[in-house]
Amino acid sequence: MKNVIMSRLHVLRAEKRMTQEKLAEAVGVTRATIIAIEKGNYNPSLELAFKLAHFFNVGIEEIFTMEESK
Amino acid sequence: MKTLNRIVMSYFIIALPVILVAFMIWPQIAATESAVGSPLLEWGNALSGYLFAFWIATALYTVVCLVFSSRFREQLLKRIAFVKERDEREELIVRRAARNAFLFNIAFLLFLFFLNLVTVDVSKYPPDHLVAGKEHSLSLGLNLSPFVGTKLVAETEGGVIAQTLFRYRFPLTVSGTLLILIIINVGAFSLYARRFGRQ
Repeated sequence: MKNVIMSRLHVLRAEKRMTQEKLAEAVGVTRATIIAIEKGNYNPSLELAFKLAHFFNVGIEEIFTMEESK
Repeated sequence: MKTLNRIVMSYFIIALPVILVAFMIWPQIAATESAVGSPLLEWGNALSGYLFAFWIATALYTVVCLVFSSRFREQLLKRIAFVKERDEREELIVRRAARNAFLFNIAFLLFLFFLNLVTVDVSKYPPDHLVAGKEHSLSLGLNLSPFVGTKLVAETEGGVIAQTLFRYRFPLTVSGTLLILIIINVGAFSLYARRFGRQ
């Protein structure tokens, strides 16, 4: 069993009708990092996770959830 | 200053493999009989000489800047690792690339060390000096000499003169080995950074 961090970032971003570039600028990272998080290729640091949660005004667990995969 | 640094870095990195190829191949071409005295050879000698001299100057500039300028170090890192801005993901890419490049370099150094240690000789003995009816001998050795000119085994005198059919000694000079190591170091880090950056 392996734990995988799932992200709802793309959903929240789509709801806000926001580009990856704008979101990246707002939280102080590159667009490539936002793409990697949305694809599930990169798990953000706690600091970045808090920044994203603060930006969308939601709790961290509403953006990121941990699931078990085989 | 920033422009000068960019030019120096670009030339230092881009010319590195060219210098290696020129360093390895050019002396072989220049040594051929047909090439001696040809205007193309003279032109090639002059051009490669200028390119190499300029590269040495950029290498010296790079050494000084790497020691004294943290900004230059960051710029060089960005250029080698193909990352334009630094954020936490790119820092992770650089960290992982450095870790993997370090391990790759250790493996490569051990391999070079092995190649440098091993000596192989295949010899053919004259008919009147056959050993147990065998006329060929294969000699495998390990040659660990810490300093140039050190002889660990005394040479025997008056031994049987055997005809050497094949002889292997580490073919690279010290400068050739160091140039390859520089390229492997820069290349491994750069390739790993690109690979992790794509993920």
